[in-house]
Amino acid sequence: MSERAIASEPPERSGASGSPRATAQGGSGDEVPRHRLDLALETKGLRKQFGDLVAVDGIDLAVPGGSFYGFLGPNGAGKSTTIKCLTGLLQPSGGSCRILGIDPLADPVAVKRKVGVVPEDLALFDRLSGAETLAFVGQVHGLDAASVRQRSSELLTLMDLNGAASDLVTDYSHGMRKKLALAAALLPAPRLLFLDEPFEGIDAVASRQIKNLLTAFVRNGGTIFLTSHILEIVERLCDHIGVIHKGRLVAQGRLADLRRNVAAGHTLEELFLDLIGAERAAAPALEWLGR
Amino acid sequence: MIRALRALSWLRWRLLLNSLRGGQRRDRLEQISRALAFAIPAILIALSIGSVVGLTVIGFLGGRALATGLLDSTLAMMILRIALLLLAATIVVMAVVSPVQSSVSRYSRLLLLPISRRTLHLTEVAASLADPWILIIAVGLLAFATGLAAGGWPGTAGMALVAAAALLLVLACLGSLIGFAIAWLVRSRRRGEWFTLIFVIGISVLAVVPAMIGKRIEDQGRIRVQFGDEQPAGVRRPRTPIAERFDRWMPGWTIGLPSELYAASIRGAVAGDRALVGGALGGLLLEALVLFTISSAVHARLIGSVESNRSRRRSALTGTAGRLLPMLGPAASAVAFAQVRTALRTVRGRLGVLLPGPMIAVLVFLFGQIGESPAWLEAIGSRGYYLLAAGGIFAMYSLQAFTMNMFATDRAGFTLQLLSPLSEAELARGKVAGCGIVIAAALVLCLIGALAVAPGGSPLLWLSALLGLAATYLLLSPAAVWLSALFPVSADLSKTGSGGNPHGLSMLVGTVLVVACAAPPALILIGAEHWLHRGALAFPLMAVWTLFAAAIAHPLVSLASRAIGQRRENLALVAQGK
Repeated sequence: MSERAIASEPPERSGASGSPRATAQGGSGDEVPRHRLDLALETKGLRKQFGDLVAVDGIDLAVPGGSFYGFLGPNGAGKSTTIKCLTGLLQPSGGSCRILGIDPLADPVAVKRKVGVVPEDLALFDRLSGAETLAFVGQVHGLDAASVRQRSSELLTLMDLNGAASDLVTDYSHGMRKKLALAAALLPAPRLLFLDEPFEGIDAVASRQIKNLLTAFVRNGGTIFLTSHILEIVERLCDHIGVIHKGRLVAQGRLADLRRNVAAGHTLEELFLDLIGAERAAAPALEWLGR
Repeated sequence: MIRALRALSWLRWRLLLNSLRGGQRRDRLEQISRALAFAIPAILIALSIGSVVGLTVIGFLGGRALATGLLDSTLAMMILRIALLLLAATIVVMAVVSPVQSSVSRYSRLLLLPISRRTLHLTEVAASLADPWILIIAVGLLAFATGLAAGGWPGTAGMALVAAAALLLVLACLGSLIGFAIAWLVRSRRRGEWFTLIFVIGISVLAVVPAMIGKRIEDQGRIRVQFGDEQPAGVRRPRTPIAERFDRWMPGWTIGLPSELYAASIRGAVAGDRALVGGALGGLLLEALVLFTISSAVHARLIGSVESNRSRRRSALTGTAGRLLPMLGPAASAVAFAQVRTALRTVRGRLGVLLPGPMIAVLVFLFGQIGESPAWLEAIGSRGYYLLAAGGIFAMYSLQAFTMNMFATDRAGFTLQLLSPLSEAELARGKVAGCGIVIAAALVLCLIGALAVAPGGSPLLWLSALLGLAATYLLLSPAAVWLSALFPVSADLSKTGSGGNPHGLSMLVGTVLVVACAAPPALILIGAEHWLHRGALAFPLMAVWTLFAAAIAHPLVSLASRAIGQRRENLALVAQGK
């Protein structure tokens, strides 16, 4: 399935070179096009291959700065692999990438100073306490001890982890780990957050807290790149979405535009199923079941 | 039942094969690394084939010699009893550190399948019959029975076979029982940590028991000569046969040991004493039944227990926030402190730090009690700084789980470091510093232990020993970074078994390198004191050597850290346990 052209896509893709967002000043040739600065994340032909298996097949992502971008796809579509490529955990097999205007392959440390990540495995030391984890992250980001203490205290309170701040992470429940991982990602005040399934295994109260926090983060100018299986959450939170299927980007753009152009009046679930062609796949009847 | 046994046998086989194959998402080097990880145990197995063949020949010849009268029966039986006792002890030790612990995780899955708990238990006990040590005993006993038959004692041979089967049954049940009990113990992290600590220290102390027993036997003989049946001068007292002395030494309760019961049944068969044969065989079967029943109960408890990682300890809040280590930036310091904390909160880390010092002191003390020790051991034991150096080397070896696998031991924590704004050099330096602090903690205990046992000697020689150890670690560190990046292994450091070990190749190379890097400082210390007879000269020479080691190590660690970048993807996958 080819990627569907969406009206609100970045100008170079939709061919609107005369758009007011096309260039910054229209001056000399080596100036960075203005729309590029507006994009918090941009990939060109990003590809990741494991032996014969093509997990990510030349995707062109365009995530506008200040957007809440939902990255959707069925299991095994390549969502987590894409995030791992973008955050440096995996080496892309091909293509290019710019995060906040920086090439992460050329200067990975500079990118990491500006982004926060909650990866699939949460990336926490089992044998550090919650407070020590945040202290580690703060020190690695070069924050002074007073700032680390203040930010840690606020984040732990917000995440309702104050009572467990001195417990080892190994003693945390899954939900507590997830909240701690989010706190660790937020502590250095990043400009872009990568969140891989942040709401999986989270109770309703914590989920509400995290949603409020993330919404406030975007309202203050931050950008979020989120993967989730929970379409209701994506529908409620995200203003932009990208849909990946079998390693290919099958749609991308503003959620409202996608709905209008692809599946007018449909829910996100219907739109999603339509985009990945799930309805067309004939499921076996399993007539032996329930006999 | 048969279907379930077949399915479980197939499961074991597939798990073994698939672990060899690895995932599709691994590159060539990782595949080679995995193959190498299996090659080293394979080499050990190949080497053990020699022992199996040897044991078979000895068993056959022993049986034949016994039947044909070439060998004194009491002496033959003593050799058999000692061999069986040692092998049974090995089975007990192996059961403690062995596979049942690592296979516990699959119980929860198996319990969801329509397999009864009894079948599961029976499968585990039956599987332990395939334990290499039990197989070795089985082969030896079979050869012994064959030898008896070849020597013209077919009736005794038949009895030996029955007794061998009963003995193997007892050993299989015993091994399973211990394995289940240990697996149950380590289901709780805290319980497991205590058990491991006590076990390892206990085993270390037990290692010197044979030497102490030897001394006891000697002392008894000496006392008897001095105060008892003294012989007139010139009259040579006939020596007590060794078999008799062994019998006298063995405490009464050992008659119930499986190896002793087996020997009694053979003795009875040789002497035509049916009562003895019946009693011994009955004893073996009764033991097997009791052990099977207990192991069934423990197994039921094991699979009904819930895994607990709870820790009662509450750690300090942010004790080291913002603190810097000398010559390291904030990021590398943070990595070092995280390394120290995580290492000291694992069983392997605690053992590595706590064990060398006290063990060196205890061993020197115990060998002192034995009396006559080798000259080199006496030399080390009388000079504390040599003890300190030996303890330091031992600490470096016992902490290889961290130094030779410094990235993968953090597991998911390493992903956090990969996601952090850290350069590869900062990461490597932080790790080297962290492991260095952990080794230094072990050295403090070695220093206390050495001072307690042999406090003498010039302070300069003590300082030289410390500097020499620092130089050894500095020289080792680039190789440690390089090997850790190239051959990472997902390790569980909450266990002392092979699950927490670094890659076999890293361990092997690391062991050789520790010795090689320690050789120059050892030569400086020994050379200055013994060859030049100017102990004070050791300190300046060692200082120069340490500076030289530091000057070499710094650029080499930076160079080795490039391997992190090249292997970043693989390291991330290993950190995720893939």
